[in-house]
Amino acid sequence: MRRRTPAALCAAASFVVIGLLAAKAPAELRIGAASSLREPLGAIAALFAGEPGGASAEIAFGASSVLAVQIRAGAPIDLLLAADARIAEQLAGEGLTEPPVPFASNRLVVVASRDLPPVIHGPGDLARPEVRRIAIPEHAVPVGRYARDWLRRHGLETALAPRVVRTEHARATLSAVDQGHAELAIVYASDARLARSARVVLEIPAAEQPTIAYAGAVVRGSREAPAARAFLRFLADPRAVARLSQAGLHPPPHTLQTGPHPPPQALQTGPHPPPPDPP
Amino acid sequence: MSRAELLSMTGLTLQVALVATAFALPFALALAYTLARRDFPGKPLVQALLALPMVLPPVAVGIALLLALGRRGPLGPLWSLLDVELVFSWWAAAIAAAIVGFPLLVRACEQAFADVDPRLERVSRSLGVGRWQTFWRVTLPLARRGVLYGVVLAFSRALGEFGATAIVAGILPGRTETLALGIYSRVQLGDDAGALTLCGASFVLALSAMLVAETWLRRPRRRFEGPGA
Amino acid sequence: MSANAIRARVTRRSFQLELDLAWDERVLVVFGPSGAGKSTLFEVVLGLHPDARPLVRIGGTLLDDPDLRRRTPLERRGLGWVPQDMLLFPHLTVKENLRFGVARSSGSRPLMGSGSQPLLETAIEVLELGPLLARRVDEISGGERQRVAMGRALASAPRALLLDEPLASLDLALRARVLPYLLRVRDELDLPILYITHDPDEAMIVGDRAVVIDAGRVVADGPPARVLWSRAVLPLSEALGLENVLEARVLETATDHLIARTPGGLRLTVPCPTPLAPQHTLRLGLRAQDILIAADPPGRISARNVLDARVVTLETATDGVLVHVDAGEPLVAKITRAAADALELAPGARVHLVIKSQALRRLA
Repeated sequence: MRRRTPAALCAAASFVVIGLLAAKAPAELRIGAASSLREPLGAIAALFAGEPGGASAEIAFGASSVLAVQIRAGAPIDLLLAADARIAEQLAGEGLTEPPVPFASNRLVVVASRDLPPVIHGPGDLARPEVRRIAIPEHAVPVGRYARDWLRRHGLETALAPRVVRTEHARATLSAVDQGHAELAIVYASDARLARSARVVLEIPAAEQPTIAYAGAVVRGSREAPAARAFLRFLADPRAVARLSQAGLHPPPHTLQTGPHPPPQALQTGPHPPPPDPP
Repeated sequence: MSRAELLSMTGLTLQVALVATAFALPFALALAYTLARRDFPGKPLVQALLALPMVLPPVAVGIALLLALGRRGPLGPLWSLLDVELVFSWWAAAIAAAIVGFPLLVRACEQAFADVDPRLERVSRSLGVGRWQTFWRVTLPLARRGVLYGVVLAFSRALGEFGATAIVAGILPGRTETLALGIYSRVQLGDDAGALTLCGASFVLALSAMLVAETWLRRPRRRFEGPGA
Repeated sequence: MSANAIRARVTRRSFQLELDLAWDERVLVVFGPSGAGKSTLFEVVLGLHPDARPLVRIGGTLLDDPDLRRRTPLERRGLGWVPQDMLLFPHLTVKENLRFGVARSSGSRPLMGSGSQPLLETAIEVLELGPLLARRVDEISGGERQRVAMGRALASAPRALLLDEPLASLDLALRARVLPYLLRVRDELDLPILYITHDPDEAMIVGDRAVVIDAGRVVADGPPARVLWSRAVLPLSEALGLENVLEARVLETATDHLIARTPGGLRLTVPCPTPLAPQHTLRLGLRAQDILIAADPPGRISARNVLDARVVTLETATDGVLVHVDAGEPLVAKITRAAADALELAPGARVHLVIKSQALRRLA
């Protein structure tokens, strides 16, 4: 053992060195994307890789707010695809990214568990006695705020208050209805598509809900900025749009005016036709 | 998910935990021995700093690591110079796991070293055996059980580490998505079946680690009971 | 310049230890009560008190010298330390313990006259450790552990042995069994030895020179026989109460006693239940208070030992008078003040010593 110790130390040291070498920055496009984009983005990235002028992409998933923190601290992300455009706007305002470009939008819907008889035809039906519990995400999550605001708009907030079940995030809300813990839930349309047994019973009109825009922003100073911009443009490609729509995401809004109370500096981008692909 | 995915995530988790523990061990042994044997000015400060990874929320540890290892942090120029990208790599996951497990490891080793009579080390040196050799031939063998206990603690912590890892290593499928991160993302996506499968894999991994640890911890006693060493 | 020297001033919490010793004798006994600073002296020799700026020279080799700014680290001092608690390595076998320090023995001078045998084998032979080699430390007895500790120190080719109360933790029977090994080591191996004890028997038997330490001060320094019953020291050894130690060779044996002769010519009758062979060497201990002094030759009395002696000097003690006499061997007797006055004892006076045979205790 006396003789083997220096050898063991050398082995350990070389292991570390080799590992460090392996940690060299890969020549790929790094995308930080909201978790809700997990399914469509895999297919879209594969398509993009095959495009002329495309690149292979590696995607880090997470909550949009967490991704923002990571970008601020210098994490190696070339392109941010956030589920909340305001987050992208904030980063752009701090000078960390280029101006954000919307590429999709989401809508709120009401889903019902399969045990509930087909009695929901309008917002007023939500207060029917058959609805014992309604699941809504907590206020901290944007979808929770939007749901509450919509209920308030229809004067249902107090009536439903005793029946409301708060869940941790959007997908948990859906699971609650899927598994029969609640009869109704207010979720994103993109989430509703994944329901196993729950079904959409009410589509909330666009006028009654805030614009929930997904926006992408190229991180300034990244080596792969050209590829990042190309990917962002590719999201307007019909093939990408098809994948997004399969995931329940609607086309992007014309303006990035978010929320019923527009923020002081709303990004007003006029009608925004997708630019032609580079020759 | 496919079996390949499952195996890859399990393998990655194991790799991260093993590297984290192996990486932390020499530093922990050195620090633990110093704390056990020496009094020095600033010792309470060192002990307080040591407790930080246990006391801080894991997200805070993750953000601190992000700043330390990221290119926009104070050490950014160093990483640029070496052209390494640690953030969002499995190395970052290993470092995060090593840091959260470090206090557990040091505490256990410190106790183990303190239980070794320092006079035995003195006798060893009086017989002509230097300090380093004394550590290997006397102190460490006598402290072996406590050290192994610490290693098991740190390894288990590394297996389950989530909060700091999610921040500094990101959730990159195939690259940094350990079992813990994978369970979280699948729960978020509503993929309950996937989440349960990964829970099962975690359970098997943790159980195996415990069994290995038990056999290790038991071995010294068998040597005493055997007929004529 | 003497072969061995220690000079240091160590400040501990409860006392200060001042040392200024120099000696050439092979076996130095450090004697004194517990807590007096004996182990601290060893620590100085081992180099564990560098802030005492010590001067340490052992066996002619200078280990520490404040003037030359020399300090030898513990692992290079080449000392064979047998600590008070033995401190064998519990995770190793006896053989592994013995071999622990062997690495430094390469290229060092031989211990025995013949010089060809490896040190480890010498140690095993002298201390009879052969049957124990494969055993683990917790499987052997206290006396065996003591021998293993000595063997471990010897096998590491020390330039000197430091024995810290090697017999203190053993009961009387064990002490009797281990002491011969100690004496064998002393007699057969050519090593300077420092020997700590609080037992005057051992000090007398083992030492060539004795240093007495009490409360951090050296109170006496010289040949054991003289030092151990000087006034400064008697209170310390009286607790065990053996002020006279004699060596004698057996001349004749009888059923329940034997007659032995000291080198100085004294013939002593000693009780002895089991017969001993003639020429066998004995060590005998005798308390000062067990010696009766008669100014006139006693008539028929029961005591078997009546010796002629001449008074050398008288010394007043706390509870009587110490009468130092020369009876062929130097002896000291203790009598009351009144008795000394009544007998009109003075230096040069011829007296008769009366000693019961049972008062002569056989030491190992």
